Amino acid sequence: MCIRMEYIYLDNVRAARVDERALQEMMPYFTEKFGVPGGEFGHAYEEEAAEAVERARETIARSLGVHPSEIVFTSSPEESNNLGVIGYALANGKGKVVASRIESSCVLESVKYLSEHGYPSRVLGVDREGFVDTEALKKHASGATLIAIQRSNGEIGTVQDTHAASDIAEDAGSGYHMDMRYSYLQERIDLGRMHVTTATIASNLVHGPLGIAALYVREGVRLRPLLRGTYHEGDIRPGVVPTALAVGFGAAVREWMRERDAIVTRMRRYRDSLMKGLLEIEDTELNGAAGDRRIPGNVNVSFKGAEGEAILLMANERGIIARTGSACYSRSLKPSYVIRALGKTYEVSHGSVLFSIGKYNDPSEVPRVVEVMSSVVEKLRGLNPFRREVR
Amino acid sequence: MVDFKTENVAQRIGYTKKLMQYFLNPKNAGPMEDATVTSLTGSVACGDMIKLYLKIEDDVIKRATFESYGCAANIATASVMTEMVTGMRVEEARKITFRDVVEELGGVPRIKYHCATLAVQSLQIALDKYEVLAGRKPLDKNFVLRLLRGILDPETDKDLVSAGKVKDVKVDGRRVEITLAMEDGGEAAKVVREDVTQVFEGLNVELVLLFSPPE
Repeated sequence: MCIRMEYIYLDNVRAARVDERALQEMMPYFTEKFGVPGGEFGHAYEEEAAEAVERARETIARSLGVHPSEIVFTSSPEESNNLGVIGYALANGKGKVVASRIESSCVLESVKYLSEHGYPSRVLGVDREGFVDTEALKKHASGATLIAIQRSNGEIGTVQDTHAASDIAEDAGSGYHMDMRYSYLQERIDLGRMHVTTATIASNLVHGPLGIAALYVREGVRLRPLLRGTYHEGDIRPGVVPTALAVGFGAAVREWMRERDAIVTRMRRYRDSLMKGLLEIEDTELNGAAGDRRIPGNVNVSFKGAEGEAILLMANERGIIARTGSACYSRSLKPSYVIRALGKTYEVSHGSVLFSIGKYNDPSEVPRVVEVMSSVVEKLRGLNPFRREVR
Repeated sequence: MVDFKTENVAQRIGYTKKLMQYFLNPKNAGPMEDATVTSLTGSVACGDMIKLYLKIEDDVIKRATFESYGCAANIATASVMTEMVTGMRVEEARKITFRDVVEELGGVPRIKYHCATLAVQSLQIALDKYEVLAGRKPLDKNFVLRLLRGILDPETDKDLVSAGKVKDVKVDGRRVEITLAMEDGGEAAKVVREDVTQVFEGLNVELVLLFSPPE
């Protein structure tokens, strides 16, 4: 791809542009301030690094309403989720592990790992909008060691009633792991006021650098380390904290928090106007929750009669970048388990397209996105013999 | 010329420029009013389906067009194949393999080989139907099974025959009765019914489709 073209980028859950100021602040920590945090008595470079990392930790803790000592830096949201699920269960008994069917694969795979190691597990289905049934959760919570229900889904944007879920966990005496990375800073979530034992957030989803994430671990909660070595972070994770990445993460959070209302309002406007525009295309169906029980940064629709990979590549050629849950786009050739869990047809799964909005997207882009998607879908439907006969 | 057997091409993840061109501006796309034969392979359920139209005169393929519901590789392989077969004699077209289609596009990612296979299968099935229509081959159980091998079972992603979904086939003159080992009324049955009906298009048979779920 040698022609530089103005793309409208709507794949922010996959990778997002790093905030300019965050990047600037990171740079010295690769060169003159290259140290990493040391132990109790570090040398000058270690002290400098420790200060920077702790500053980032404080910023992140404040954004969640928790204490800095409750934030553990990890390498990725996948690591955070593994630690929050497997690390918690291994340290807290052999009871049931309960999760929703639309958790991230790293959560579901962690649950599967536990079930292969003597933990009974229960994966709860969701309704057509992606909501977990609170009554079913209540029923299955008794005797649970851990409940893992995400705050919101990165693919369909549905926001769960995690206050109810955390109350249920508390009543059942169970731990509660909440993957909240897709909601982080898009919604106000005060962890201090919920019975959450561990929670996952990620740097790149708020325009910090890739390669760093965090796990909130509530004061007093015990976890079993998954990796062995000299434990630096919270006595449960070996390996040094990459100073520059932590600085970038902290700065990205700070920058977002500075204009939080403006950012979130803009994303919400973008979401609503894109959703409206796309749903005006004939035979297009919304995936996930309607209205405000959906994160501001997510639009997911299915264009029936057109296949997702073809839609994406053609849209890419015309300057729009998005994602799909179609089987053809995945390495495994399996359609998105999230869309299938909603009980939707094969056709809807294959035609699903995810537009994830970031803080750099401007609502003025929406008309062009709708125009391109509409022409792409029309062209592909024109090739489809079943479509032709329907019309 | 690209050798599809070499490691680097076989493992190619992205699409070639040529494939992208055939996808973005497909040649010979669209239905054909006066087709001699049509064929349908794949399944809506798998998001991978090709309908092929051939105009054959004196055993020469005069024109070929296609329609598709599928990914970029599906569209491109079908399109390039219609170009390849135009002007060919039927017995020549019989010899085309998925490798020829892959090579013609300058390579196809290995994970998408099944698209080229599907395109070639649609060609072979259309030619089978042509020979049955011309009275050179019998309309018998084997022929029906060949057609059913072109349809994917949404429940297993295998073709209907390999998936064990074809319980019984009875052919009596122009009457074809197929019993499928699946539940009627569900989404899978609905798409399979549409697919099977399309597959027999133009054969002028009385098609009876029965569903008998496995005990």
